[in-house]
Amino acid sequence: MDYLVPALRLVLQPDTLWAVMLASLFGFIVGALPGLTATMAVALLVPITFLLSPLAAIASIVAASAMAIFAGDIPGALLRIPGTPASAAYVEESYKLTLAGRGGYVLGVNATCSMIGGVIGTAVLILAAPLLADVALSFSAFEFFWLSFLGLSCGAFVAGDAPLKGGIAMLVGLLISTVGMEYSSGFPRFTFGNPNLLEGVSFIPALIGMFALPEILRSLLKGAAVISASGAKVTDDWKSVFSSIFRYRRVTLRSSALGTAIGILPGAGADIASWISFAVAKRFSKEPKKWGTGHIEGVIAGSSANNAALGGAWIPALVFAIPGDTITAIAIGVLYLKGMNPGPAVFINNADLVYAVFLVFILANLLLLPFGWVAVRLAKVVLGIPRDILMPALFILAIVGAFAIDNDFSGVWIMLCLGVIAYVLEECGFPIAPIVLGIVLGKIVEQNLVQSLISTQGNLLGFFERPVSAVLGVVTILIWSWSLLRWARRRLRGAASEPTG
Amino acid sequence: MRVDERLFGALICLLGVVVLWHSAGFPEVAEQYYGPAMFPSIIGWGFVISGTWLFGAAVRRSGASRGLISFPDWRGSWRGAVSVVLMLVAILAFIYLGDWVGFQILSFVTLVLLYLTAGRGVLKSIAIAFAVTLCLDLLFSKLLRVPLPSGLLTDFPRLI
Repeated sequence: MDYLVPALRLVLQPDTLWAVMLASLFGFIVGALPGLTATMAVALLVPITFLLSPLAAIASIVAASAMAIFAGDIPGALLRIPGTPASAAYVEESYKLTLAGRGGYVLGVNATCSMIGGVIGTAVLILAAPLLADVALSFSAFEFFWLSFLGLSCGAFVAGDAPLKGGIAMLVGLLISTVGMEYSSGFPRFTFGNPNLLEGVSFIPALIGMFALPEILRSLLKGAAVISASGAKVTDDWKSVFSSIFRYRRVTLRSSALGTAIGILPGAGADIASWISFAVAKRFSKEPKKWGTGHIEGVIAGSSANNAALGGAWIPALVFAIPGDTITAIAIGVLYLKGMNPGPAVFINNADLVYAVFLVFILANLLLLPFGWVAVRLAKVVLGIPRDILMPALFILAIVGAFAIDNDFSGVWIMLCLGVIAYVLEECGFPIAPIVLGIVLGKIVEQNLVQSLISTQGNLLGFFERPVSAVLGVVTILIWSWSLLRWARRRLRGAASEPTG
Repeated sequence: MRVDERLFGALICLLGVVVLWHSAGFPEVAEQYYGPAMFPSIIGWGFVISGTWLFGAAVRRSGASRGLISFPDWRGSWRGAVSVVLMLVAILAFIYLGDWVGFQILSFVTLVLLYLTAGRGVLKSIAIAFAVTLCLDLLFSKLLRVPLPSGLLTDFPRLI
């Protein structure tokens, strides 16, 4: 409570409020355009936030991501094309409702459920993060090693449906994290004599390269696509919106809780939260026959869960510097840049800023409702922006953004190299999120591994001597064993079903 | 661009070998068991194992022989192909000519060429490219005070 008044004062600074407004608008535009993700919005936004105050920078990331996830629902409802992958689960139900002339109702439900999910995710963040941080203050290198390794394992095995490809992507990220001076000896690794690489691969240009460049490339390759939403009718129906959400209040609360919990898992973000909550709501629905015909229950479940996941993902990010999803991976980079180093000590060293970030979360989520109301009216204008006009502009923005981080064209090089690598990997079915996790967690894993090994003189049993460390170690080993067993079972089943003659 | 998984597996395996070979040259730290080579070596072995695994799985799965590299995106879209080449050339131009030519000129020329390739008219392309360049210049140079290189335009009076 001591921090609440100074935190509120920070949030009410004009630059923070402006950042929230403008970032929401930017998030809305990128989120509403099909194919462009909330992560891309945040990656492109970071260079612009670079010179803002720490809180305004974080506020813009929070606002842009929350708005982009909501805005992704708009083309889903109006065009049957999800704006972001997080809206894909319930696009069929939304679109069928729009065809029945209830577009305004669906978008109203989207905005309201996004707000409720976002506020519940934030409430869990506010309650859980300081408690976890208290516990984490007693953590040593062993616990941090297992936590970061657990994060990597989840990212590679749990979130993806192709663990081998996820694992390779993670190794690529880890390799990138080793570039630069080694932390204990200062020996330059994989720099090939380039002084720009001594500090490591610059994170933000790498992210712009991996998330923006492949998307722009793909869009240009496919040629111009002008999307028209002229057929859709959008009229307000807020009375029905609130009565539906009240009727399905248990679904709203359950999906928000589930979304938050999934958001906490490293590597599993809003996309997976939305799919799982949709599936759970369908499984326990009292009206199973209505599903697939334009039923609002699925829309409520997915919209609540994907915004709730955003808040959940910040818990491991703030407390352990382990990202819950790609957006928080970027946010961690920004927190470091702004001197707000994430970890349990952030609640002591930067308490007022952390509480200000919490308040910004609440503000950004509450704003979803009025902004959503305006956004629904702007939807057709944004959806009408021709892709061949927008993409070249975003391309130049990406170049300038990569340059602006260090005021140096080496950032543009990094953007190009990692953009090409990410494009080829994605085309070959490799996920990109484990690469980002690898880059963020690589240094943490290595430092804590080396420190732990030095303190135990190479004895691996020492990694299981402290109780929390032992539990984390066992969980990590179980995840690996479960993934390998699942793979072996699939192989055996495949062999058994093959014709023998 | 799609790379066959057999070739991809072999390349990943090769990357692992290169990482292991390169890391072997890292110095050992006196009185310390774990030097700068330890972590990259683990990653290198990871690449070798997973690359071999990917290669083996792809060989078992692949029936009829297919091309090792294919370009499914590029079929029938000359505009797309030209745009991508333009993009790559533009990035290299920014890197090597950025300081000399300047951001504003390079951005304007890149945008005009990309809009023309997309099939927009000459006047419309020039107008949009000018507006976008001006907006980005204002945003980064004026508002955010990023020292974008102006190159050839440095000595010219600024428009705004």
